[in-house]
This record gives sequence, structure tokens and C-alpha cells, in this order.
Amino acid sequence: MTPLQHYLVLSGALFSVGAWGVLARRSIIMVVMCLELMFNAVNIALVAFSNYANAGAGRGEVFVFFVLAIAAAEVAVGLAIGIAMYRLREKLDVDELDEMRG
Amino acid sequence: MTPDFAQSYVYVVALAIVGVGFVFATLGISRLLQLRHPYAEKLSPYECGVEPLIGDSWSPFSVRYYIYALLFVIFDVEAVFVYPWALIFRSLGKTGFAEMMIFIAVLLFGLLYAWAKGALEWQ
Amino acid sequence: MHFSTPIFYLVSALVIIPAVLMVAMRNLIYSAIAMIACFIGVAAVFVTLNAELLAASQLLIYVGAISILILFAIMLTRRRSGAICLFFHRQSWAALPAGAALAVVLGIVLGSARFSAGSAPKNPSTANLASLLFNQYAFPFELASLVLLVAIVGAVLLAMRERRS
Repeated sequence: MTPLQHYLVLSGALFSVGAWGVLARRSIIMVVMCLELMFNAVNIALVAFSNYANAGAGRGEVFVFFVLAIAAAEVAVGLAIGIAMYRLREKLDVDELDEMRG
Repeated sequence: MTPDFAQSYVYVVALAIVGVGFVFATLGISRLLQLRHPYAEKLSPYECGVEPLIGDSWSPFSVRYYIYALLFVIFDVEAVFVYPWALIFRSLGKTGFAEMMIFIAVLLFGLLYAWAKGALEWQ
Repeated sequence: MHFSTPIFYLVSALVIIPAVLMVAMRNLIYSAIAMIACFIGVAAVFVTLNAELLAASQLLIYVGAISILILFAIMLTRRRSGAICLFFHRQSWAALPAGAALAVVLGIVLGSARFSAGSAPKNPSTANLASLLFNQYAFPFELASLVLLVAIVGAVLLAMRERRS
């Protein structure tokens, strides 16, 4: 049988790939997509803990429903910011968003 | 999980392999069997027997498509919450009914807002 | 019957390989397709964890809805020659070591941690999940609807904003 640690390491690996993408890519759409990868990594960890735990099975799965709702809201607003940015400046580069720098 | 239930995933995997394989097999076989004698007339774009409009295939794309997709995502999330609710609807009684009606009513406000902003109009 | 470890490694490859391809590929459209493959892999991971309802929800929300939204956003922000292909920026050389270091630390910590866990995943019934969701977590459930309402309002306002002339 697959031990719990295997799922946690898979989750950690997916989270790291997502973090690499968020740090490395310039396009705001790509940053949002990599954030989704990190959400998915967290979901894997939550479901693994939920169904391997000795007590209170299913609690983590309920949390995943809320994570799905938050992820949908985050994608909708994040991509709308990207579209507004493109319509105002014809650019998607997150490095350009530095007018608020003091 | 009963053995029958786990075994049914064998069919899911088989169907996925057949589905993906069908695409590559048909494209590959037609590539192997086809004859290729291209000339200018044959290579020109064909659109229902008329000359296609000249221009970019990346034509202007209205932001309204995005608004529709956005509303679809939000109501898809709502549907995911409704499935488990429908399963235990009887045992939840009146409070469960009220919970879901409040949830749907709040999301309905969002739809009404998008409607009032004119996001659903198609000029 | 439980899913065995070789199946777990197969399913993990279905998650990690598309994820790495997604970050490494230049074209945003290809990245989005790799992301969809990764989401399908995560749904398969949920199946091996006996979470069928979540696997179905994952397919419905991520594969069916969120990826469509992302593809529309890529189409809306195109240039004449096709999708915008911004790749790496000034600090990108540091991103790969940073991600790798995070992976090593998470791997060591999670691989060596000991939890009071069973040896195989349990199978909580959908009815059990539903009663948790609608009795104990009823208030967060209603708050989720408010978050979604704010998301609709914010996204409609931002997307409908006209170009400054």
C-alpha cells in the first residue's frame, strides 16, 4: 500500500513546480496558472491527510470544496486584472506594474 | 471500496487509451496512405466554396466571451455544492433547504449585477 | 481493493511531467494544454485516495471551467502574430534554484515526518461529507457564496472597463 508520505512528497513537488513558475514567468496569466498548480498541490495534501487520518475522516475533503470555490474566485479576478491591464497598456508583463514603487 | 468498483476504473483507463489512440491512429494512418500532389490552387484556403476574407485568423475577440465564461465558472462551483446537498436533502430538513436557498440567492445577486451592468447584452 | 504503489507512481508522473512542461514551454496556449493534463492527473490522484466526489468536482471545475476561462483570457490578450509569449525576466535565473531548494526542503520535511495515520486511505461516504459540509461547516459554506459574489462583481467591473482615451 502507498504510505501517506508518498502523497505528501507528490504534493510538495507540485507546490515547488508552481512556486518556480510564479517566480520565473513574466506573463500575469502564467502567474495565475502557476498559482492554480499550487492550489492543486494543497488539495492533494488535504485529501491525503483527510483519508489517511485515524480520526475525523472526510474533514479535509470538505476543506477542498472551499479551496475549489476560492480558486474559482481567484482565477476570475486575477484574469480580469490581466485583461484590464492589457486593455489599458497592451502589456501583460508583471514587471511593468511598478508605478506604486516609492 | 468494493473490488467491482475499483475494477471499473480499468474500463475508464481503457476508454481513455482508446480515445487518445483513435485520434493519433486516424491522423497517422491518413498520413501514411495519402497522396500528396500540392499546387497553388489546392493550397489556397477554402471556405464553403467562396474566397475567404483576407486577414488574421486571430480576429478581434469580444470581452463578453470572458464574462460568460466567468459566470459559467461561478455557477459550476455552485453546481458542485448542490450535488452533496441533493444527496442528503431529506435528512437536512428545513434548515438545509434554507442554507442552499440563501447560497443560491447570494449568487443570483451576482448574476443580476452583471445583467444590470449590461455585461449580458450583445451589441 | 486498494490501488497499489506502481499505480501511484504512474499517476504522479501524470501530474508532475505536465506541470514541469507547463512552466518550461514558451507558448501560453501549449502551457494551458499542459495545465489541463496536469489537472486531469490530479483528478486521478483523488481517485487513488478514494475521493471520487472530489475527482468529479476537479474535472467539472478545473478541467471543464477554469481552463476554459484561462484559454479565453489568452485569446483576449493576443497580438497580431498570436499569443503573447513572454518568457523569463531579470530574476528568472534565481527562480529554478529557489524552486528546487523548496522542493528539497519540503521533500526532507514531509518524507521524514511521522503522523498517526492508517496504512491505506479510508473511504468516507459522500453522505458523510455532505452532512459535515451542511451541518458543521454551514457558515463557511454561506461565506463561500459571498466570496463568489465579490468575485463576480470585481471581475465584471475590471473586464468591462474601457480603454482610457
